[in-house]
Amino acid sequence: MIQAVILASDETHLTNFSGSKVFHALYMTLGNIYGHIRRQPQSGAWVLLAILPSSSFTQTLLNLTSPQSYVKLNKNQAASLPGILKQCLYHECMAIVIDPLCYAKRRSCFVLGPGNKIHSSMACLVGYIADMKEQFMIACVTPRACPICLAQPRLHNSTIQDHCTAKPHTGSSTLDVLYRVRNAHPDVPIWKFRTLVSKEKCGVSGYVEHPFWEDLDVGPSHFICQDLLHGAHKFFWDHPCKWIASLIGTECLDRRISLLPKEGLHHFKSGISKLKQASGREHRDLLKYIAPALAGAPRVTPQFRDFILALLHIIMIIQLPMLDDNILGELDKHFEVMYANADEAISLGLRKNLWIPKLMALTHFCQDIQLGGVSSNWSSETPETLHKLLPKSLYGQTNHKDYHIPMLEMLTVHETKRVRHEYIQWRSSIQSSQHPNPPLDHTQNYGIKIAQRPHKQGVAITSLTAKSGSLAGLISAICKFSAEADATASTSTATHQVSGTYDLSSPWFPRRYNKLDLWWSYRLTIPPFNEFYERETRTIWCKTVEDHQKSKWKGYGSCVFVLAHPKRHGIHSMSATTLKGP
Amino acid sequence: MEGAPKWKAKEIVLDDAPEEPQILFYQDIEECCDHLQGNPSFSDTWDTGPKKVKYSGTETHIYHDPSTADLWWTYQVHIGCLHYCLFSQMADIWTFRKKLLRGQ
Repeated sequence: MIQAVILASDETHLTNFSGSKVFHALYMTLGNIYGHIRRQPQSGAWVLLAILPSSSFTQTLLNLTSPQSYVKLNKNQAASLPGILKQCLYHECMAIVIDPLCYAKRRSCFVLGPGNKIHSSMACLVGYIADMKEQFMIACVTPRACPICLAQPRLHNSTIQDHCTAKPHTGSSTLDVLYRVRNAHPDVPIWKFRTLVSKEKCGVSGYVEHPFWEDLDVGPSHFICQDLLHGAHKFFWDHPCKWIASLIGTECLDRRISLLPKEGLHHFKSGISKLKQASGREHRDLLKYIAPALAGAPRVTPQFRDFILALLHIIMIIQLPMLDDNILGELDKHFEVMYANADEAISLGLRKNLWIPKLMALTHFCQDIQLGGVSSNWSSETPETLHKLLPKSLYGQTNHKDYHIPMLEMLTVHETKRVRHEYIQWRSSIQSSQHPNPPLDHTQNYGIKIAQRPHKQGVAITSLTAKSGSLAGLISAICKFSAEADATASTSTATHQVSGTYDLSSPWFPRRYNKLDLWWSYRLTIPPFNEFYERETRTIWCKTVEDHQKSKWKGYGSCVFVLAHPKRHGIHSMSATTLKGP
Repeated sequence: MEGAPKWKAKEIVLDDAPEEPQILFYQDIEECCDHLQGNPSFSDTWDTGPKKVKYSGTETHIYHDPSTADLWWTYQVHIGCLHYCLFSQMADIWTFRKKLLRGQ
């Protein structure tokens, strides 16, 4: 069995407002664990694998730039030296950590695995989750090149479509360049080596001579994964959203977004420009609002609208929980539309050029999905949440001096406790499985749920129908419903033709409906329609304005698309316009 | 089930910065993998191998977890070949021994 190792590394600050204590954490999980469990930070699927040292090498820089130093660094070299040393240090550390996964060294060994069976297991690297900055560092390329493919943006006669067609960046192509330069100049120090490599003009940075993936059997183009959080959601917030705001005006966009009805959990009541500290959730929710806000806005040309819509389509498709070849084909079509209309952003004067690394990297999501599954597996959301759970909470418990070892000791204690807890749970589950309980019927969890207590009790039906014209048909609907129920209950062959309008005096009106209990919301649980989706729960609001003229709440309702049954009476047969409040 | 993996520390001295040694704290990656694999809470939610999921009667590939995608499959094919080679070598040794025995 293969243990599919997924690594994730990110830098975080340990202190909130001051200080420069940086914690460079490397987390690890296994791709064998199902995605929905792996995405939970508390599930124990993630392990803090290493703490990578980070230093700014001030002492070394001082020594090398002092007048007594035997080497002479010019200004450029001195400026780039800390960066070079940092990257060298990173690759050196990663090489030590990754060492057991090397092609020459990995062996399969017998390990106790799930189901209490012994598996012959071998660990292989399948993915590395990193943000854009670290992706460049891992792939040893300059920030102007692409870590995944050999496309060279910013050169003349190159376009942003090049990334679709360019060859992938195999590890050997980078290593070849490094060897070639090193062979030509065997004694050059590391700060001159970089300038020599950059003269080759092939996108290799030359900061590091021996990347950590040198001995692996996969290249960086295979294991580096595009990150959904930064690459798609944050990209849209940072770039296209700003273009739209500058095109139609910030106030106009804010007003348009604030007027839209509430969808899902979030509602931008005062627009987006005033938002402070937008998090991933806001970035994600904005994608739902931006298309209707853009419709018919001033100064928006059809090309620009198509460009934004294509981008939205792409971002929505790549975050689906299940994808297949047909959908990927559709994705290609949206990419074509996007590339065809991309120049509109320049002609509208929103950008001088389109060399945005994240815009260009969007096309690599397709390759990632084919290699490593859907991109929700590769979102950096979970590792980012782990920062708060692991390093930051542990740091708060130390005395903030020489904190590494106390942190690790605490972590070991926590881990041991967790292991013991899981062992006890497992033991008790084995003992209880000898007296098997009837399996829970999961279908009961689906359907409609309302609160135990009604939001308003005992409202006279006459007051409801009198107040709002839209509910005038309520009595008739109840009469029809009870007539039908009677017909089915008595199983009489003579069916009553119930039609027309009724009032309270009708014999079909059951007296117990004189007073009604009101609920303003209910929870609708939708069953998963295949095994790749989880069940979804939505709260549907239907609060009308008249009920709350005295209270501070305004009325609001959710948009619901009802697939009406053609033969059933009742509320289904009413059209949306009949149900609409005034 | 064993306890948590042990932490290790290693001092790293770069050739170009000998005055500033850095300390790397790390765990053995294989031990961590085995630790995760031995966790009984994942035993019901565990993919043992790569699989190719398709709609019935079509060749449309479905992508979901890493196990349904191509990289894992390539690894498994690679390792499968490796096992195959080992077995064939063993078979060779076996026939070789038989030949030796016959020669005696």
